[in-house]
Amino acid sequence: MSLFYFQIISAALFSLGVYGVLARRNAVLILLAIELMLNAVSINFVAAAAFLDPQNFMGQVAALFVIALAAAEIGLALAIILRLHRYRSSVNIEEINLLKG
Amino acid sequence: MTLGDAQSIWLAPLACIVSFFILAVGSRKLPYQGIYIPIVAMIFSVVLFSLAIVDYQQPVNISRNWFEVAGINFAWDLYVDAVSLTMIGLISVVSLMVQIYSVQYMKGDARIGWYYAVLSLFAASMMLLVLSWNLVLLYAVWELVGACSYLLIGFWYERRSAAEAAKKAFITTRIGDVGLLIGIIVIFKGSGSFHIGEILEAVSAGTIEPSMLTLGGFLMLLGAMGKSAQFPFHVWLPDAMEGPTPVSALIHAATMVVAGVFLIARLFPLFEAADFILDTVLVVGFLTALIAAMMALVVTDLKQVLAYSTISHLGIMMFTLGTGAVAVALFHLVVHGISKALLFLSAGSVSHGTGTLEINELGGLRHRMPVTFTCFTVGALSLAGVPPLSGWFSKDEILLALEDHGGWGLFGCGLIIAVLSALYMSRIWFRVFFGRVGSISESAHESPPAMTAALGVLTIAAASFGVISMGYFLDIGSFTDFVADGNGPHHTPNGLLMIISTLAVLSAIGVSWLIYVNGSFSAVGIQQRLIWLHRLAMNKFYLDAAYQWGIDQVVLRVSRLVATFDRVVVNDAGVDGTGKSVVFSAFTLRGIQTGLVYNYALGIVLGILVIFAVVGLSHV
Amino acid sequence: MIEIIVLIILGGLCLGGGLGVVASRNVAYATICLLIALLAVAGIYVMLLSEFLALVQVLIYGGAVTIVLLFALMLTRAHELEGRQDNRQRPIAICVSLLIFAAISFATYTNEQASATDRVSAPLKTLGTELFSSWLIPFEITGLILLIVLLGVVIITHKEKI
Repeated sequence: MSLFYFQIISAALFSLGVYGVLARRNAVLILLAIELMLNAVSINFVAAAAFLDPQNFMGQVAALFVIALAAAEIGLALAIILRLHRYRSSVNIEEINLLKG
Repeated sequence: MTLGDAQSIWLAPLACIVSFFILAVGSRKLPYQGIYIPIVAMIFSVVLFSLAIVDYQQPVNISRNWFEVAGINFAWDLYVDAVSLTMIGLISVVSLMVQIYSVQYMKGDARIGWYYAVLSLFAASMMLLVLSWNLVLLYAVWELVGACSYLLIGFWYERRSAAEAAKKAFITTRIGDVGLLIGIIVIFKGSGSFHIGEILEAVSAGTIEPSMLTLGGFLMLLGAMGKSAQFPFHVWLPDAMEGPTPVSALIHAATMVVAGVFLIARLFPLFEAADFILDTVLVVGFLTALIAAMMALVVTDLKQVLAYSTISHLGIMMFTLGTGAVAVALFHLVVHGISKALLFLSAGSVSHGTGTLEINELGGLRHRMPVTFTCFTVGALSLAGVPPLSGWFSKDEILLALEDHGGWGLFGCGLIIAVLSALYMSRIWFRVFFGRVGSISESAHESPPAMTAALGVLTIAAASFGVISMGYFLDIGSFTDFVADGNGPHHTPNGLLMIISTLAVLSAIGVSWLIYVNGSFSAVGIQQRLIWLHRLAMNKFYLDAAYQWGIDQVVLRVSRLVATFDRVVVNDAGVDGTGKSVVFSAFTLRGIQTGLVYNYALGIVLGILVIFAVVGLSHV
Repeated sequence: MIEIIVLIILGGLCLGGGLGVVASRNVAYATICLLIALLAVAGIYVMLLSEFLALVQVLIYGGAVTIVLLFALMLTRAHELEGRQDNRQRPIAICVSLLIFAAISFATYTNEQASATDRVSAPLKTLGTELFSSWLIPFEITGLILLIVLLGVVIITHKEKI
């Protein structure tokens, strides 16, 4: 039960999230993968705070902020996606390439 | 330093430079295009010269510091001694005569102001050349003199042949000038100074390394050979006759071409101390004199004959220097200068009066143009060496010096040249002025007074200079003593020599009379018998062809190679290629911008991995 | 001893949920798997003796985020997009994510502090004090951010020009 186990779990979750971001076609599913990544990071923070920071528990406070900001970010991202859907009738990111140079 | 001192002679070039600037800038606005200004400046120079020569006692050193670079001092060093005063006399008198003559000869030319401007500039730079006592100053005015010659030969630049001749003159002398520059640098390295006085002291003290002395001497000799039209650099002088005739009289007879001879005379101790140089000078001079004399015997344009004659006499001066008799060489320099200028101006008079210079079209001119005939006669006979004209004295002294140096063998060579000289001089004298009246000569008319006045002065000078300079009159002392500051060569006049040479000359003139006037021998017959020699001489000994071949094969090939390199490597690959490669790489890199978000996300993640790798490996 | 078993179960749930999120063909299944993963994470927080955080996690993620995501999926007619849900970058993505996992685990493995075994409980009081003393400014800014996000969402999705 050392810090190492928690960090391994965090690493695995994070890499799953990376895979999701890179390999999914639907924009909303990418957001799901981003949520995974954020949670992985929070686990890491909280575990580090629990094992290494007995006085201040800075990691937990950081995790709190992460949760708050993740929620905000989801709202905004979904607003953009809905707008995109309104005009292109699709959230397939393979079709959205107006910036192609 | 008062006006009229020997020291104040530097005001003469200054006056000429001032007149050059005035004319170059404002000749259009002045009445008569301002040509009276240089004439006034020239009269001033002649006056200064005459005052100076009366006042002269011993050499004077004038020096003004200019600037200093890396411990080397560059100064305006002028040295007024007998040699330079003599040269200034020659330059100023002949320049004045030429300028007075040109008033009528160049009358009506649109750019006469510029003509006089360059004439003044030339006079100024030539005077500075003979006065300069510093090798850097010498080189600068040497080049300036060459530039003036270029400008004047190509004065009628609308004519293609004139432009080509000017280019040829400048390039040929330039090749020699490169040698002069390197020679100056070598001498500087050897002696540590540009000041001629210090260099000559170092030479006499023996502090210059012999190999450097020889190398520097040979290179400077190249420069002298270029300017003084010695073989093989003589090819520019006949073409330089494209310029106006007064210019030929001044520059290519009396003053610029003698700069090489003057240089050797000035730095004579240096050339004497180096090995083999004087012998080289002797051989080169003799070769030049011989070849040029042969060519003078076959050409048919009057000015061309005079040009080849000039080359021949420059060769004579050179081989006189080679024997060590500097004062004698300078004497012949002055004599030849006056006589040749006289001859050229007379030729100009002939062309002004008849419109042509072809010998074949002229003939029997002595009745139509008597004044010109008299002047030409004096000049021609003087150069041929007929007593008591000045040419006889100088020829005599030269032959004495030759015999002194190398015995009767060398004397024989000199005699050959003297005989050839008499032959070609009398050839044109007879062809142009005697005999059947040619087609053109019917309508010939005598020249206007300005021209004849200048001719007259020079005639008197040519006739009397020799006699005066021998010291027989007026207790002046002999010219050679004057020039060598009392150390002139005192050859005992050898009576046998004198008789032999005079007889040879007179018989040459007689033979010429027989051929051209009397018709006893046929010139064509002689030509047939020596056909190979005639062909060689007519083709200028194939020297021009050789140079042209050299230029075509070597220079143009190399320049084509260089041009290809410049076009392919520097331009296409270097300049254009750089631009094209930028565009190409831009097009290639454009492929990264796919517009797809997940590609960009991949980029971010890969970047993070790279950072991980770098940091991680640096910690390991 | 029992802690390790619990940890393994929770970790397995978490990772299994994560796998479901990234590999599932059906978008609804993906969202439910996310919920499972996030609840497992809350369980891990409890194991790390930070119960308040676990509470917040369940409330916000399970209560708000998941619902919002489901709504978004419904509004964008994700169910009509059947078939393959992965884009063309799949092979590279597998390699890259494996590399990331290797890198991070290597980094933690070589870290000495990772072998700490004592964990301490975090009283809520400490958390609150921390939040309002050393972390006051981030707290305020977070509030500001939430406000801005609210405004932004309204502006972005508004039908007519404002």
